[in-house]
Amino acid sequence: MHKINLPRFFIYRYRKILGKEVKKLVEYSLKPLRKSIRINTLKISRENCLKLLSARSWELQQIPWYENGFWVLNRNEEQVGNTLEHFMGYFYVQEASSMIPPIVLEPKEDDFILDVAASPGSKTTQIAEMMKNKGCIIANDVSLDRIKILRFNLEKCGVMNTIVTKMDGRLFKKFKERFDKILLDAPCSSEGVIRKDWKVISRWSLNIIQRMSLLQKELISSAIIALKKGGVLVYSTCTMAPEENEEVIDYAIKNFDVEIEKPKIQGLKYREGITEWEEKKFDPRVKNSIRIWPQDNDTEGFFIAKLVKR
Amino acid sequence: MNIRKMNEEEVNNLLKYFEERFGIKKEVFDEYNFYKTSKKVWIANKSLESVKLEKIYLESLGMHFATINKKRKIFKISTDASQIFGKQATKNIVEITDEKLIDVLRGFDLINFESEAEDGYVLLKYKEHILGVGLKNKNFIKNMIPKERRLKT
Repeated sequence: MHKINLPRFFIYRYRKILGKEVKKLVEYSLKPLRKSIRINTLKISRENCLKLLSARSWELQQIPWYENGFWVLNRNEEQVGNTLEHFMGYFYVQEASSMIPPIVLEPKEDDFILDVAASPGSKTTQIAEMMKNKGCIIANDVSLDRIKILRFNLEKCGVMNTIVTKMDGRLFKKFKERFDKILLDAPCSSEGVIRKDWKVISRWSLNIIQRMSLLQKELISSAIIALKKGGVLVYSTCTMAPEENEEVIDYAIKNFDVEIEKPKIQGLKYREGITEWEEKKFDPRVKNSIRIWPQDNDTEGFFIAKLVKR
Repeated sequence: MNIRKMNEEEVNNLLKYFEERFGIKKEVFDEYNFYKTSKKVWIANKSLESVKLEKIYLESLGMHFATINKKRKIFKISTDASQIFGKQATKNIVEITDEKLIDVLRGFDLINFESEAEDGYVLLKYKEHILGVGLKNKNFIKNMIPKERRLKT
């Protein structure tokens, strides 16, 4: 457990949703995160990678919602990184809950997919793996520094079905109804990753949440316009703030002809989206989005919604 | 990025070089197209060919495949491409021993290293894994694995 305190206002906000269970949220937010990896089947088969890691006496535990995802039980971060298998790109160090948005997106081999905010590339490389390096992914980011990291990870993973672009995600609306599927893993206040990066809490404020919420509404609007009719948009964040989650989905439902589908994910404990926050009442369909609290699966916190354009 | 698709002659020259140097058959690349910037060659799945996005700045397309050495009219295959396509190579492969593995992954050159491979670019292989590329000159092999790809400790 880390010797830091969460702001009182942070705890106050989530007590409104969780009640007494907020203690669990605090406990898990301060607990170190379990190390997890995703086997990169673009470079090695699942079986061969498991054989190599087993020969190194790695103890792995299957992540129930993704076949190629494993928790590493007996290695620290440095030990995971300093191996031949990591050097070779046979696995990618990826948080277990971050593997969920690509599962909800259900990429197919001939899809034309846009990943609006792709860096560092965890989800892009997973999508490429699920597409068996076929079809096409536009992996976009707005920052050149972040694009360098994205390209590094794509190349290390052997991804060859991706075009990397640098553009403000709000401008994708100029490509009207072009993409089969879009992942908008939106920039956010990152409350869900406190246990990985404690600096998040020093930057945390209601101002940031409100600023992010505005940006996210612009990003989701642009993404919906760029999505084909019948296409799927997966919206995700690694924060628990309703302003950045349900409020954004409520905005999308009220302003665009989209339906929200409830994702089904095997072996994952999750909760429905909330329909009220402070004085705001959201469309009841927002319930079909999912909240993953850190204490539910001992992971980062996440929010995911699956929208289908009519 | 100012990038263009390589024409048939350019692709033939590229693949001829890799077949002569490493014994990698042209057919290995049947599913891919090649693109070129001033100094680099890129490889991408053919499915990217049909994509047209107007007025958008491309940072990269597919994977960096090779760097062009214009003076010597040869190509240096990238570490990432070598790890995938090097598995099909039949010659100019240098086998790395257990003792030397960590040194290679950390980016050290190989000094006084005996190998029957020809001088020039060679593939560094440990068991079934192609680690990357070296530049051989007699008994010295310069490690070409980029700094950011090396093991840190």
